[in-house]
Amino acid sequence: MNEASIQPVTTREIDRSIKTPALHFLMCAVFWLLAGTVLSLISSVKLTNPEFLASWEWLTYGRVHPAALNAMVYGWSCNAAFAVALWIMARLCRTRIRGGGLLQAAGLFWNIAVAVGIGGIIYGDMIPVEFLEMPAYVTPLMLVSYLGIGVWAMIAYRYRRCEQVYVSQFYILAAFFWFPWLYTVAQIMIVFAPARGVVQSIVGAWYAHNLMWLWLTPIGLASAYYLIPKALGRPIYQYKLAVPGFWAFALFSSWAGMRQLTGGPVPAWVITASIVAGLFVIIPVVITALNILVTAFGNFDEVKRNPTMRFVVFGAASFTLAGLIGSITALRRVNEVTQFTHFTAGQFQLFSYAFFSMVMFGSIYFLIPRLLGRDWPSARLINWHFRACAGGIVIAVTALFMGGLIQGWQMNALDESGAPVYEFLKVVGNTGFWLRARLAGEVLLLAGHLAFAVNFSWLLAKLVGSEIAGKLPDWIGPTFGKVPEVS
Amino acid sequence: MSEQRDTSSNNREPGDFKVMVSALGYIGVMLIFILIVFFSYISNTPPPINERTINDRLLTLRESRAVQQKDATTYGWVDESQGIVRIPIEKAMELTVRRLSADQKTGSSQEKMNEASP
Repeated sequence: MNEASIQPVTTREIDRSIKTPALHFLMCAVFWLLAGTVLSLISSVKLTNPEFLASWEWLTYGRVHPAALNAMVYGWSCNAAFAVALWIMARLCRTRIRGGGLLQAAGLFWNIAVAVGIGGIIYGDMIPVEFLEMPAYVTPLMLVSYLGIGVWAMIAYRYRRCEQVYVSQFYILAAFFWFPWLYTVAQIMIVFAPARGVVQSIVGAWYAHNLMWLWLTPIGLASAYYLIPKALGRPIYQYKLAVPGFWAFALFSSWAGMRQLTGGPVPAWVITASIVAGLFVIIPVVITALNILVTAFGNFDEVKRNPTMRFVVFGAASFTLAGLIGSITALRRVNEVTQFTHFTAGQFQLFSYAFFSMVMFGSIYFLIPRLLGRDWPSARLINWHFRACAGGIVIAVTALFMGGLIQGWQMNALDESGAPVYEFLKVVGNTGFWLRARLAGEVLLLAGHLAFAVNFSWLLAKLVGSEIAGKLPDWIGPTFGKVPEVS
Repeated sequence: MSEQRDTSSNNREPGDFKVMVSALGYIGVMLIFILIVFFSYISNTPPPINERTINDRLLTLRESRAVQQKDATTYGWVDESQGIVRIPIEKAMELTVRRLSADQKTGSSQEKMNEASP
């Protein structure tokens, strides 16, 4: 054991140990965020104008839409989750991230796999299962890369140097174990040795639901639980409820995915068990709402002033809303209306973007100044980012919910003789207004992401002493205040 | 940025070798888990659908349809204790048509009587 290894570890050493890999993950995350947003915008335009880019087969809706989803989930969300979760784990365990070059190499291979996978989808090698669309040839690389990344969170926890274990550590550690379980089971049972018939649908629904609930959600909640007391300087409102909340989350959320198969040729008990679990998910949702939102709204002035808090509180409020809507739509009567409509797309956007992505933005705004020892170059760009993204996602989700509900009611409407009241094409036509409203929301999201990317690139440019910073116009604004000291 | 020093008694970081062994151990455990999932699933996977499976399914379908056909075309007891019987569908249709025609006639004469009355 060398001399350095017996010295107590400072927060600066912890940050230095993860600086390069975290920056690498965040650069890739920003790239995939922009790529995913552009692809998503193209697919949204195609929903309102099917002739748009119709002459290129690799840009047909059937390819662009899954490519956008995969870029946002495996590109943006996973890279952001790796950076934020590893940093929080290291900080809470008061230990350095020891992976170094291996972690960075694993991250590089992960992103190569995502790039090849999305290229494969656009080329036409897609697997027609939601969130498993990437071709089978990238699966081994993704899995090995993931193991090379996730193991360092486990190592940090194993060699932690603190007496107390926080609920954020619970969530992160669980998420890093849950993801390989989900991914391998789904890949084996759907791609490599496909199960027969309806079992494939059950596994697909289970994976799609739990990719959100058992992988992205725990990372988002861990970040919120870590950042809110840090940024506000006050404890969580009812911290003692946080641990039971975690166990309730672990127990119920993994069962709730199969409710989307309501009405399908699936054993009734599978759907009923899923509906019951979907209703019980309200327990962790309410606990999280109590803990995070009550703590935050007790300091509303600070929430408005602090960019991290604005994003995180917006994300936490969206999680509460998404959880409550998820529990309501678990009911058969409601699901019969919302199923197979734009409403489910709205639920996905509310969960993956309004909750997870917003919390990740807040985490990145908090994390970067501490990693680099530099503040964000432009406070105005941060404000634009928040306003554009918050406005964009509210418009997009509201449009999808309204359009989806109207679509569901009209598709189910029957006259006295049992014949449909509305022709199918009429129902499709009636969603046009809402899809155009969603498109407006997506344009705002793109604007917000561009503001974020410019700020991030500007910071990196300043970091490497580039002249880019000096060439940016003055009207963008003064630098955001001094970084507060972190204890 | 403040530098928080760890004051706990456990302030020694493990050496690189120990960390690498632990990392390989965790990766090994996850790979073993994946192998267990794979082999336990594969060993319980039914054989792929082949001609024999198709023939078995067609035989089962034929047997099932034969039973349904017999039930639909013959007389039999449904619940002997309550006196409920099963009759062929053709016969049931004939009886239903006859009953409906009779009802209609009764209904028409009733209507005529109603119209005739002041």
